[in-house]
Amino acid sequence: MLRYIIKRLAYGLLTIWFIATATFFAMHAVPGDPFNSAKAATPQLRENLRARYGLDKPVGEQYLLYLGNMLQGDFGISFTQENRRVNDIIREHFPVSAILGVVALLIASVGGIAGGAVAAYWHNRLPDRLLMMAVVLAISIPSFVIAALAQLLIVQANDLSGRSLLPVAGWGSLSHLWVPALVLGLGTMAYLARLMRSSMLDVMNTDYVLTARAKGLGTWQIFWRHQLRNALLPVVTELGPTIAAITTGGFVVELIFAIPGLGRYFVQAVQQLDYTVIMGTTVFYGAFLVLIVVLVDLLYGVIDPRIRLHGGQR
Amino acid sequence: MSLLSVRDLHIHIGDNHLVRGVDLAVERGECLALVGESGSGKSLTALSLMQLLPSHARLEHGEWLFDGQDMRSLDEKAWRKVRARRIAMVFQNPMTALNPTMTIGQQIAEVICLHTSMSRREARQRAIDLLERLGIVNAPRRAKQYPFELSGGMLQRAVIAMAVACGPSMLIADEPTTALDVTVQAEVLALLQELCRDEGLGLLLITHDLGVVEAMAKHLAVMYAGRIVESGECARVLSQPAHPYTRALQAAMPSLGEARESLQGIAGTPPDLSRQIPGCAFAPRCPQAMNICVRELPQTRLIETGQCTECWLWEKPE
Ligand SMILES: Nc1ncnc2c1ncn2[C@@H]1O[C@H](COP(=O)(O)OP(=O)(O)OP(=O)(O)O)[C@@H](O)[C@H]1O
Ligand code: SF4
Ligand SMILES: [Mg+2]
Repeated sequence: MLRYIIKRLAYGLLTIWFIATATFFAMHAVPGDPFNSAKAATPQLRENLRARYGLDKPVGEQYLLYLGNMLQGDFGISFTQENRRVNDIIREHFPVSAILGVVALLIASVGGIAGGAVAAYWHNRLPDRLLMMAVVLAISIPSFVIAALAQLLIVQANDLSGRSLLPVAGWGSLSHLWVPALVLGLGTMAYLARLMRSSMLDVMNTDYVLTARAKGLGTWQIFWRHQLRNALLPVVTELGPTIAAITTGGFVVELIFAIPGLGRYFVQAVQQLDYTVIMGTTVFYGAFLVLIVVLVDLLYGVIDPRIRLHGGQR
Repeated sequence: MSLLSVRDLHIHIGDNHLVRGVDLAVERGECLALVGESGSGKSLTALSLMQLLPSHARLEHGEWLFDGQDMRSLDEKAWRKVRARRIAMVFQNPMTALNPTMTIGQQIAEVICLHTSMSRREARQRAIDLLERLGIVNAPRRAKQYPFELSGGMLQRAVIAMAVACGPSMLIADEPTTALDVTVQAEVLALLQELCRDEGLGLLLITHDLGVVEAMAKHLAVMYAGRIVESGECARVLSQPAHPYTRALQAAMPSLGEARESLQGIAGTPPDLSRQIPGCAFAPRCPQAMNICVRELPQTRLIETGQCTECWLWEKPE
C-alpha cells in the first residue's frame, strides 16, 4: 500500500511539472503582456517594468528561473497588484474557496447519495421520475444561469417579505454561504444522484441482499449494513473528478456572488494577463487536485477490502 | 405431522403463471429433493416458502402449515422472525451470496445478534465456533477474512454456518453445490446430510443431479412447468418412475461411467407459461401423449408402486 501511495505521488509530481510547463508556455504564447494597459503609458516605462519583472530575459532562462523558484515554493510577485506576493494571495483567498467548496461538496454528496437511493428504491415510480427529471435539469443548465436565477429568487423573496432574508451576494457570514454553495454543488449533486441510483439498483439485485433478507433483516438494516457501502464504491471513484468540477465551478460562482475566493482572483488574473498569479494559482490548483485524487484512492481502499488488502489493484 | 406442508401454491410474475398449484411436505430430519429442468419454478417455489419472492411476484396458496403454525396469517414483521430463526436458506453461489465488504465472522455474527440476545462479542465467538464445527480449519483467522479471500467450498461452509446459526428447524438449499468444484461438492453435501441427521433439520434440497438425490433424499418431487408431476419415496420413484417426464429426466442424466454419446436430452422445449394450459403441460414433448392429454389435466393419483403422479396413463379407464 505504501509503495502504491509513493508511486501515485511521484506520478502526481510529474503531472504538476507538466501543468507548470504547459501554463508557462501557453502564457508566453498569448499576445501582449500585463503592461499593455494604460498603466504603462510610455514605451520607456514599459521597458522598465518588463526589466523589473524579468520579462526581457530569453524565454528559456525565464522558464528555468520560474521552475527554480517554484521548487522553493515561491510563486513570485503579482504583476498587477503592487508588491503582493502570489503566495500571500493564495494563502488569504484559498481558505474562502475551500470553505465554499467543502460545503458545496457536502451538500452535493449527501443530497446526491440520498436522492439516488430514494430513486432506486422507488424505481420507475413517481419519486424516481421526478428526481430524474430534476437531475436532467440540474446537469443541463449551466451554473451561471442557475446562479443568476438564485439571485433573482433571493431578491424577490426579500422584496415580498419586506426584510432581508438572505444576502444576494458577498461574503462574511453563514447566510452568505448557503446559496452559492448549493448553486455550486447542484450539478455535482445531480451527477452523483444518477450514479448512486444506478449502482444502488445493481446492488439491490445482488445475491447478498437476498441473503440479508433471508437473515430476517429489515429494509433499513439492509440498507445501512449491506447496500450503502457497496453502492458507494462506484460513487467514491467519481469523487476526484467531482472535486475538480466543484473547484473549477467555484471560479464562476465566486465571480457572480462576489465572493473573495481564489477562483475570483484567478479569473481576474487571466483577464489582466497577470503571469505570476495565473501560473501560481494554476500550479497550486493542479497540485491540490493531484493530492485529492490520491486521497480518494486511499478512501476507496478504506471502503473496499479487496483494494485495501491487495494493494491498489482494481 | 409434517414439519412443513403447503398446498396449492401459485406464483404469478406479470402475465406468467410460473408455479401452478404445487403441494409440498417436508418431514423433520429428512431430506426432500426437488428436481426438474431449468426454469421449471424450483427456485421461485423455494423463495416463496420464506416469503422472499421479488416484490412484483404474486403468491397464492391454500393451506400452509409450518411446525404446527398457520403461516397464512403472518405479516412481513412476523416473517422476519421466521427467516433464519426457523427456516434458513443456503444459496447456489456462495461467491455472490456473501457481502464482499464484510468479514465472514461479521456476517455470521449479524444473524446471531439479530435473533438472539447475545452480545456482539459472544456472537463473534459463536460464529467462530460454528465455523470450526463445520470443518473450517483456523476458524478465528478465517472469521476475520473477507469473502474474496476464501475458496468456494469454504465460503459455502460459511454460508451453511450462517444458515444454521440460529438453530432453524428447516433448511432450504437451492442447488448448494452447482457453483463448486467437483471435489468439494461431496463434502458440502455430506455436511448438509449430517446436519439433517444430527439436528433433526428438515431439508428441502433443490438439485439437477439425480445421483445426489439418490444419496441424500428420502423423498423426491419432480417438477415440470410449475407443477409437481411425480412425488414419493426417492427409491421408488427412481427405480420405477411412473411419469413420462421423470423417465425422460432419468434418461437425460449421465450416470457414472457412461459414455457421453449415450446422453440423450429431452426433445422439445418447456411450454410458454403466459398462456393457460388446460391439459398436461408435458404433452407436446411426451412420447406417450394421447388426445385427452392436451385437453384435460389428469388427477393426481397414488399408484401401486407407492408414489403420486399426475398422468393419464395411470387413470383407471372407467
Ligand atoms: N424475478 C423474476 N422476474 C421474472 N421472471 C422470473 C423471475 N424469477 C424467475 N422468473 C421466471 O420464472 C421461471 C422459473 O424460474 P426459477 O428460477 O424458479 O427456475 P428454476 O427451476 O429454479 O431453474 P434453474 O434450474 O435454472 O434454477 C423462469 O422461467 C424464469 O424466467
Ligand atoms: S398425461 Fe399424457 S402427455 Fe402427460 S405425461 Fe401422461 S401420457 Fe404424457
Ligand atoms: Mg433455480
